[in-house]
Amino acid sequence: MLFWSELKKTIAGIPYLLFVIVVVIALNSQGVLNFSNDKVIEPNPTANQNYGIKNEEIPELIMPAAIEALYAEFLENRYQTYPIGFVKYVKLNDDEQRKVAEIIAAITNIEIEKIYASQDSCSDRNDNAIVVGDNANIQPDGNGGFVISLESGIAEEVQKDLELSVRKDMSYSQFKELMQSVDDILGGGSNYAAESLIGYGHVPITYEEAVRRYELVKNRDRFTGGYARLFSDYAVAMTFSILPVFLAVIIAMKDKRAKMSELIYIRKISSAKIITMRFLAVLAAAMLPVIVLSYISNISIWNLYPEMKLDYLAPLKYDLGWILPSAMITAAVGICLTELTDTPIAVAVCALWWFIDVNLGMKSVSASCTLFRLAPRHNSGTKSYFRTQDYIDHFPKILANRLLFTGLSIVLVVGTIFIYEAKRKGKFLWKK
Amino acid sequence: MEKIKSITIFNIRHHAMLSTLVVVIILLITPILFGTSQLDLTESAILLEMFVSLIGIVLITPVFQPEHDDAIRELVSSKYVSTNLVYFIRMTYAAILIIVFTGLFAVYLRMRQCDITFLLYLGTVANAVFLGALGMMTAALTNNTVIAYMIPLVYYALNYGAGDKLGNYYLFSMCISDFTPKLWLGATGILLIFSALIIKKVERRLV
Repeated sequence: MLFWSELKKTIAGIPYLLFVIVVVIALNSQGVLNFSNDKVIEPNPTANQNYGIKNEEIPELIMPAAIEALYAEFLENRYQTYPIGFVKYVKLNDDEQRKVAEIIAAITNIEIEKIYASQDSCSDRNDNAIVVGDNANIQPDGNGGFVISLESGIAEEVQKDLELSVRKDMSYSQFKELMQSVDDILGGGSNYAAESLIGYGHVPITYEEAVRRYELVKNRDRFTGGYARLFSDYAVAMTFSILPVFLAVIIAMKDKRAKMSELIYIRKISSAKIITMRFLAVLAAAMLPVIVLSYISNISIWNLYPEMKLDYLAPLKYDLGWILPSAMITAAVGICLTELTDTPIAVAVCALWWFIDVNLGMKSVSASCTLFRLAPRHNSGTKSYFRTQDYIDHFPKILANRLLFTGLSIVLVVGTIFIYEAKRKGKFLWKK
Repeated sequence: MEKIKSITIFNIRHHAMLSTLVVVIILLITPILFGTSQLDLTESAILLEMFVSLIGIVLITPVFQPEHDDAIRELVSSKYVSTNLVYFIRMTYAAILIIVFTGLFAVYLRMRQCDITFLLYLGTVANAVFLGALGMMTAALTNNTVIAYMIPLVYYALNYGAGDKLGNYYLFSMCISDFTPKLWLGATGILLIFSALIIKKVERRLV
């Protein structure tokens, strides 16, 4: 009875209507409400199909590509890193640049002086050039005049002057160690970290691999699973890591706004029942539209695979397993902080948390499911439904993450019960 | 003049301190999360549009917040001083704070040898004003600060997904070197602010 009354309070009114509208707009903007144009095509050996690119740890590919990239950044003294997810451009001081030059010299066998000279030549060209367009420069001609020239990247040009090649006696493990030291000098998070070097090993996917992937999509995901996963990825990142907090804060402040708090405090009903029912009502209200939308999204592909065995429960499984824990944690933070402070501070807390978390994942949207990610990511755009093996590999991490947030939200709800109980006994009434 | 001065001091002390603190936190964590050394124009634009412009939501949205409590609203309405004057004062110092904080951050970027132009600065202020005005208008219509924060935050999130499909209302347009939307955002922001103040004036007459 109490649950229905709290649910009615949550869904009646403009805030809930806005919540639903926003969820629909946000998911529609990501194109995950209709997958009817995204059919998974069975690999065909006779057709000239492109199966895409994958990363593999092949030293012969990785070593030259990585050293070239490092040398280009060294010349400009501008290194791209992602220390905590956000892109950060690092500029090194002279000592640190010298250390990087030493590492490049150790890998390529080029004298360190030459490497240094090329850096100076690069910066000289930079200093004297006035950029007048995307590719055009005005440069002094040495006789007091100027020459207008077209330029396609100073670093690349200087790079051509120096023959870069990895020493023949350089082992891959040595190379990784040296590149790791570059990453340490840069403060971490660069593409030169030992575990990130694989990003330089691009190889095309073969027909046999494409068939294996297709079989996994067909037999493990039963087609619908991949689409449901992509839907959940966007639903959590765009909406459910933040929006339920609004419903929770509004419902938690409703009694106070209606000046009913004191009246409810003296009633016989237990604090545990009030808070638990309120929490469940917020969750039910938040999950209702997303369950409907996940089926609208998934139904759009059911007719693309006639005579195939589809998993019709896949949307529900991902709704409850992937999206629900995010809704639980944001709703729990909302209810807990509102009861504790009697202010909407939870909105600021969740907004900041969501903002940092979403941006943290910018480099790792394709697969980022560490333990404390509010919105675990497993997204390669329309190719996401192909990545069944990746999902199977990451599943233990995703499971641990989702269980942690479920547990945390239960702890917060229990904490809220104690806070509510204390308020009924006259404690935590800040303004009294 | 003395009256305006005392209203301003009272409001800053009692209503603006928390918002200002949140703004300072946002501006302090920005360089920690994002590199601020030698950024080119596009990178500076990313930083200003995606991070700094959020201060508008924090500073402008709660302009009507104290009067959302019915008892306070009735008490304030009975006073000799016009509530609209109080709103206008709050609005003015919120706008000044946006201009000052964005300016300070731009100077900091300049000191870190980043490319930054006056247009980038103005564009960021326009973004902040628009986001804040969106919140202020929602607050005027719903008398609920929580919903008022929700709308600009959701609009901000929508810009991540929808991108330049939002046309002249795309918040991150300077990242793609398009400054025209800033005129629209700034002008719409000012229009929304004045419309919100008018709504409040009309509402007070009707009650």
